[in-house]
Amino acid sequence: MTPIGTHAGSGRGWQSGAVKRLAPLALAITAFTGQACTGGLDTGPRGPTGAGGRDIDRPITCDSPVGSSAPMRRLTVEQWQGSVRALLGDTAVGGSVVPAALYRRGFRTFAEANEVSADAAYDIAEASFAIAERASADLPGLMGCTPGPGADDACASEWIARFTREAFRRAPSAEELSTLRGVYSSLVSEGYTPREAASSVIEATLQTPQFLYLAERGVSGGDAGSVVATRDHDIAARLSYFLWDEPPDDMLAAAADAGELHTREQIEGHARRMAEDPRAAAVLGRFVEDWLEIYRVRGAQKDAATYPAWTTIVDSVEREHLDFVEEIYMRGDRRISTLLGAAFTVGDDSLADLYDAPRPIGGFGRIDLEPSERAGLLTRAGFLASHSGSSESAPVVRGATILRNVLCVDIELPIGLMVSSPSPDPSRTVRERFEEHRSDPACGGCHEQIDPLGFGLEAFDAIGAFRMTDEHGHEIDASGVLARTDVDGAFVGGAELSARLAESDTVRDCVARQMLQYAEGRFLETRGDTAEWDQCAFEPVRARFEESGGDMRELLIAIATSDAFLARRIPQGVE
Amino acid sequence: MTVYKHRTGAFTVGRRAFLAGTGGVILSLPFIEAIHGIAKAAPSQPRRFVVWHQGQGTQYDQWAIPGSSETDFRFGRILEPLTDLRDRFTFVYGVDNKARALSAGDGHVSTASSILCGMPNYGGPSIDQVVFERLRQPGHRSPLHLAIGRSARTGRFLTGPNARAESVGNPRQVFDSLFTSTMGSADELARIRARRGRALDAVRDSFRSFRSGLGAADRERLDRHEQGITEVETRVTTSRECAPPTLGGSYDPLADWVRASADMFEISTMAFACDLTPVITIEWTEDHDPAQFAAFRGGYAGWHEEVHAGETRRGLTGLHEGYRYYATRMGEMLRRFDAYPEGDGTMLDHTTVLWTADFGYGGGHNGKSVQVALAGTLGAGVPMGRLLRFGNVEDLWARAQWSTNNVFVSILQAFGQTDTRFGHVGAASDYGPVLEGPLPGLLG
Repeated sequence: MTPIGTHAGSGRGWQSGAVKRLAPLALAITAFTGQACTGGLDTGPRGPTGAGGRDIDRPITCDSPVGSSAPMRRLTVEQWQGSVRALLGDTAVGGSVVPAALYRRGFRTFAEANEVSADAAYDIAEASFAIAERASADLPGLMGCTPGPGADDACASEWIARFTREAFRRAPSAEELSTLRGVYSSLVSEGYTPREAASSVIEATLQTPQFLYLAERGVSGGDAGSVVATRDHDIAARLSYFLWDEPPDDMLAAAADAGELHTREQIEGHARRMAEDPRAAAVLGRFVEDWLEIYRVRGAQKDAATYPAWTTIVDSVEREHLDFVEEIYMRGDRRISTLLGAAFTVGDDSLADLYDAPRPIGGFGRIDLEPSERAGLLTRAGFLASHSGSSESAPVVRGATILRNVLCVDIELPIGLMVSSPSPDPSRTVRERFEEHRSDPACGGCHEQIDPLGFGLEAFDAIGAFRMTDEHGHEIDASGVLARTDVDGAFVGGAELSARLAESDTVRDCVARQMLQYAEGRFLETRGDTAEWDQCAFEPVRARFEESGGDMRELLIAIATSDAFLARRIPQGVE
Repeated sequence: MTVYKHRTGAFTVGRRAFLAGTGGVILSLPFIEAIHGIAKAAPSQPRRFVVWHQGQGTQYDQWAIPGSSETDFRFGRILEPLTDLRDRFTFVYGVDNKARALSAGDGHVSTASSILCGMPNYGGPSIDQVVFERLRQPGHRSPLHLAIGRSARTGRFLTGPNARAESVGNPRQVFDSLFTSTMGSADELARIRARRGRALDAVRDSFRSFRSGLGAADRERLDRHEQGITEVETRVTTSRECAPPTLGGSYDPLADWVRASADMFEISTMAFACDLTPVITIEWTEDHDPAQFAAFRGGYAGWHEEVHAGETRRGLTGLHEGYRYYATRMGEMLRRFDAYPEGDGTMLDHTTVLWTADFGYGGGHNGKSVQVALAGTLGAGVPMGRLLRFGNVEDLWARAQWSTNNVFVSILQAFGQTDTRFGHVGAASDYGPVLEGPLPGLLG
C-alpha cells in the first residue's frame, strides 16, 4: 500500500511554519470503484471524461493534507458582474458583459471553458472601456475627493491604491501600484483631464489578470507536488466566489487582512455565515443548471407547429430550477433527495398549465404536482426539454445524461466503432427501433444501461409535458430499468425513477463529486499519477455529505473547509 | 494633423472622407495604407483563404460522381445546388485524416482534435492559422472565426497547440466587434485611441507581475491571453474607414440558419473587401445537440440516426437532403464572393475555399476518406473543375496513401509557400504513415 500525500523531497513547503496549523486527515479509503460501460470494440487511448474513469483499483491511504490543484481560472460572467458591481456600482456595469464560458460538459467555472482568446480579450477590453467611462463620469463620487490638475495628485494616488486593493482582492505590490499610477500621471501630464486619466486606470485594472483570474498561491514556495498553506487573501477570494459568486465582503476581507482566515475553524465560521445567505442558493442554482445541462434549454429549438405554447413558457422554464433550488435551500430541508424527489415546484401560471397542475396563489409560487407523474428536477421541463429534439423526445440522450451526470458513470463512444443506429420509422416506437442496436454486442454494453433509463421518461414530450401517446400516436410505455447501480430494478415513469435515484448512495456521492469539480474549476483526475490526490481530496467531502444526510449546505461547507481550500499543491514548472 | 506612435507602428489620423451612408460615423477598423494596396500576393496566387467546416461527413453516392477522367464527373443530389459552380471546384477522394488515428477520445473528439491541424490531440495550429501567419500584413486582425449555431470552441480551429479558437455564432455580435461605430470627430477619436493604448500598456505590464507562483500549465494559458492583448491593441488603437455590411434584420440566429449564414457571408465579403483579415473560417456548430439543433431536416433524432446508418443504407434520401442543405448554403457564399468585383475578376477568383466535414461516410465516424473539396482558386495556373481520386471512398477500411496533411501542404504551396510538410509526419497507427510532400496533382 502506498501512502499518499507524502511529497517529493523533504516536503519543504509542508513543513514550513505556516502549514503546521493544518491537521492532516488520516484516513484509509477504498478508491472509487464505480464503473464505466464498455463497448465491444477495441480499446485505445481515452480522452478526458466528465465523471468516470475508474482506474484506481487499490486501496489508498490518505494520511497527509492534499491541497488544491485548482488551475488559474477566469471569473465567470456572474462572478465578473458581481465584482464590477462591488467595485463600481450597478450603473457602471450597465449592459456590459464579458464572454461567457464555452462548455458542453462540465461547469461554467472550469478554467478550460474560460480561456481568453483574442476575440474574448477584445470583448473584455470594450466592456472595460465602457464601464470605465460610465464610472468616471462623477469623479468626486468615484474617488471620494476632488483631484487637482497635477499629474502627481494625492487624492488620485490614494484612490488608485484603494481601488486596486479592492479589485485585486489583496494589497497590490509596489510594482503593480506604480504601473497603474503611471497610467494616471502620464496621461495627465500629456494634457488629458483627471477624469480621462481615472477612466483609463479603471479600464486597465479591469483587464489585468489580477482582477480577471482566481489563482491561489502558497504562503511559501516548494517543490512541485509539495503542499503548502494557501494565503489568507486567496482563501477569502476562493470562499466568496465559491459561495456567492462575489468578491469578499468586508467581514471576510477584514479577517484576511488580520491573518485570521486559515484554520478550518476560522474558515468554517465564515463559510457557515455565507452559506446561509440567499446568494449561496443562487450559486447552487447555477451549479444545478450546469450539472443537469439545463442551460441547453436556452435557445433550444422547438417545433412551433407541434408546441405552439413553447415561446410563451420558455422564460418560465428557464428559471424554474433556480426558484425551485432556492426554495429547497432557503426554506426547505436542503437535501439532494428533495431536489430529486419533491412533488412540487416553484413557478408561474404558465408553468402550472404545462404541468397540468393548480395555478399558484398570486400568479407565482409553489405549485403542487401530481406525485405519480413528477418528482424532482429530472421530471421538470428544464431537464426534459434540454434533452429532447425539436419535435421528439430523446430517450438515449436523457438516459446518457442521467448516467453520466447523476450517477457518474463513464460513457464514451468506443474508438473505431462503426456506429449504426436504427433507421427512422414512424410505424415503430423509438423503443422498438432501439431494441435492435442493443442486441448488437458492440452497442449493448452501454445501451443496456442507457436506453432503459431514458425510456422511463418517455411519458414526457420534447417540452416536458406529460403524455400518453408519442408523436406518431403510439401508446407510451414508460417502463424502465436501472442497471448496475445501488438502486437497481424495474420502474415505471419519471416519478418512480426519481424516487429511486433520490435514495441512491451512488447519486449522493456523485453530487458531492460534481460539486467539488465545480469548486475546483476542473474535472478531478481519475487516471494517472495524480488521481490518488484527487481521490483523497474527495473522500472527506463525500463522507461529510453522507453524514449530513445529503444536506447541500453541509456539502458547500465541507468543500469550503476541505484541504482544497486550506492548502495548495505546488504545480509543475513554477518559475 | 497629430501623429501618435504606438507599439503597432506609427499611424496618422486626419480628416478623411466619410463613406456614403455612414452619416459622419467613423468606424473603428484596423488601419492599413489602402484597401487593396497592400497584402496583394503575386497575381497568380490566391490572396485569401476560407475554411468551411460542417460535421457528420457526407454521402459519396450523391456527392460528386466520378466519370471516365478527372474532369468528367457529375453532381449527385447533394451537390446539385452547386451545378452552376461546378468548374470552380476541385474534389479530392480517398485521402484520410491520419492524425486522427493517434488522437484520444471517441469518434467526434478524436476527429475535432485532428481534422484541421493534422496533429493528434489539438496538437498544433490549424491550416487557417498557418495560412494567416503567412499572409498577414500590418493592420490585419486575426482570422474571423464564424459559427452557424451557438458560439463554440470545438478545437477544430486552433491558433496554436491546445489553443482553441472561438467560432462566434451571432452575426450581430461579429458585426459589432468589426464595425462598431464610435461617434465623434477624428481628433476626439484619435485622443481616445491614444489613451486606450496607454491603458493597454499597463495591462501588459500587469501580466508580468502576475506570473510569479503560477505553474507551467497556468502560465501557458496566461501567455495565450497576453497574446490576445496584442490583437486588442491592433483593433483599439488603429482605425480606418470602411463600408459596413448590411445585415438581414432581426431574427433568432440559433433558429434561422439560412438568415444567419447569409449574414455571415455578407460580413465575410465585406471583411475581405476591407482587407480586415485574409482568413475567415465558417463552422457549423450544431450537428450533435438535439436541443439546439434548429429546424433542419425535420428534427435531430431522424438526422442523427440517419448519419449513423448512412454507410450501411446508402439510399437514405433524408440524409441526402441534409447534406444538400449545407451545399445550398455553400453555393450562396460562393456566389456572394463571385458577385463582388475585384481587379480583373471577382473576389472568388482570389480566394481559396477549403470544404471539410469531419468524416467521409458519417456511419464510420472515423478518419477514412474524409470529405475534401476546394473551391475558388488554387492559383491562376491551376485548373479547377476536377475530381482527383487517390482511393476508393466506398471502401471504408482501405488504407490510404495520402493524408489531409498533404492537402494542407498543397494549400500552403498554392499560397506561394515552400513547405513540404504540415503537422504530423510519420507513423499513424493502423492508418499508415503520414508522408511528406503535397498531394500529387492537386496544383496541376
